[in-house]
Amino acid sequence: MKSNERKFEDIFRDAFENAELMPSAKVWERIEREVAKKPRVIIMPRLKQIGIAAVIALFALSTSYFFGYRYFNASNPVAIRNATTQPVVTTTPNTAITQPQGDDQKQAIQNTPQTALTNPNDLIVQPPVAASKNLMAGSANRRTEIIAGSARRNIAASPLVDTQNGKTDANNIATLPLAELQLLPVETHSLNKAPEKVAFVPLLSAEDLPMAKFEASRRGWIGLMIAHNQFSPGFSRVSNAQPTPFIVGQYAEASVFHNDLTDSLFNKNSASLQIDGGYFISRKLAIRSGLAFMRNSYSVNTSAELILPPFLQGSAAKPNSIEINTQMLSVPLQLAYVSQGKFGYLFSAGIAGDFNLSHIINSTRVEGIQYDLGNYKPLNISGLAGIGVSYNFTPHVGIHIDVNYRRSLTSVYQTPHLQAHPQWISLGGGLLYKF
Amino acid sequence: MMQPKEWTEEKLIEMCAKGNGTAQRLLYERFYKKMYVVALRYSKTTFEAEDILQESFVKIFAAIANFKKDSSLDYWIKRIVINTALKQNRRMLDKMHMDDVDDMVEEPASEVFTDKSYDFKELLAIIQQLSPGYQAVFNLYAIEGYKHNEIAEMLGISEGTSKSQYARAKALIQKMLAKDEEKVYEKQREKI
Repeated sequence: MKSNERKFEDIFRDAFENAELMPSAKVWERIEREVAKKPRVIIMPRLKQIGIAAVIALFALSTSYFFGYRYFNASNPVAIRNATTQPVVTTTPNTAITQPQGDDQKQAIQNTPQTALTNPNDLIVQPPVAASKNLMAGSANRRTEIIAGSARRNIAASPLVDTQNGKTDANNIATLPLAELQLLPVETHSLNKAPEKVAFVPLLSAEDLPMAKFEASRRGWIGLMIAHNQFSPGFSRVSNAQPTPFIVGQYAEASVFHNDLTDSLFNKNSASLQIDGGYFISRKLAIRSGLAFMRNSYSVNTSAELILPPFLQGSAAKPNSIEINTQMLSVPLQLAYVSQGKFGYLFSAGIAGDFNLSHIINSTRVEGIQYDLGNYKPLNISGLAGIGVSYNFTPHVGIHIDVNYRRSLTSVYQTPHLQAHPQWISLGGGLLYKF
Repeated sequence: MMQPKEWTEEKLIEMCAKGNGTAQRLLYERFYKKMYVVALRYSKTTFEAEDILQESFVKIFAAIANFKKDSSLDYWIKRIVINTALKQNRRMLDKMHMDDVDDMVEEPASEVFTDKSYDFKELLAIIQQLSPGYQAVFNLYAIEGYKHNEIAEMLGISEGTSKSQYARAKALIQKMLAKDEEKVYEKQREKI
């Protein structure tokens, strides 16, 4: 029987050993078309993905900008931080201001609660040269916290206290609405009779105040961060059918493959490089976004025996190993709670659009096997949350370290039998510029 | 300068990996006739076989940069063609009833095999008449030379099922060959 079998098989092997037949010429034409199509299939989605990513990032940042603009022009309390300009503060044009004529009159004016701008000493009252480094203590600090909105409403009642000869008293700090300082037209006043007697009201910049120094940069931030990711592909089995239509002959059941993907999985180096940005929408809350390039990598040792002919059985003793590399662009959109100071902290949470750039599966020991875990979706949405701390060297420059957890909200593979919700914890840090 | 037709196999692979159209055409011309027969063995019609051939070469050109020289190019390409064919037939294989070796009713094998050599086209026609399951197992075992445990892994079936499928396929083929031999014998007798 055995020799019969041998003979039987030999008949076929011999017959087919050098067998050749000519297929239709159309086969090559179709191959040519398919091969020519390939680059477009690969490149176009990438350009599209990068474009979409850029649009989302721009949208997020511009939206944040408008929130931020409203914040800086509304009735939120802000610290004076005008450091360089010298706007001339004027009264309303065409408003006649009675000039005191004699000493008695001047004295009377000084003793009277002032409800309008006065110029008791024939001085041009100018807001200040901000270069002043006079540190104000106690109540002075508190008084420099100007509420722009209420200051605007109470402008008529805000006394411009006389500061003669540039002397500054903590109790006599003029409190000026920042909005008025910035928005009123610069005009010379008709009282400009004695320019030689110009006196300056020292304006405190927030940076002059020790406590407020590191809260000065409050519009937002931008930075560059690098992170190491502890990556898990998060495979789960949906049914016990073959995981995908592809892994030809490698696995008898999906469960075997699933076990390999969970038990024989080895993480490789995974990292991300991120441009991180944020805009404040209120005193503590900011919209956080950016653009991150991520590379996640892992390998799986397959338990299935290899498909090798008898003469290659020696190498079949080793398990095959497949390595999976994924590269993506990610655009996060998060709400962040930020505490600033020399040492600051941050909590953030939101979603991210992950745009697949490439998804490559390499068989490291056996060639000719086409591994395929199903189609990797071009766009996946992840949920993410993180916590971070920062240390500010200056009001504008600091370092930031944070830990983030993220997980894909949908399966990244389009296959009916296998699901994957990649998740990873990233630990990273970088340099931030605050503005 | 060396003409494309004079390129060595290594050079051909290198140029294919760079996406050179001439090299791809040359590689195709070197292997397509042989691989077409392989594809025909795993399919029912020429249309199916051409589809397999087309998909296989697209994969080959996409993956040739990863080809390592520890196996022959011929073998590597054949493996891709076989895998592609099995992939295309997988739906049919999944639906197919597979007998285990225990369910088998022993059928006496014909002892018609002689030293007669067969034309591959005759054998191909017989193989194509088999059901997809028999066809795959028979090709893998009798012609490719895989063992039953390897075939079991490849097709996602048990080793026993592979053995039973092969035994049935073999019995069917023997019957068909015996019929052919009888026809030839009768024709010869009529001539005499």
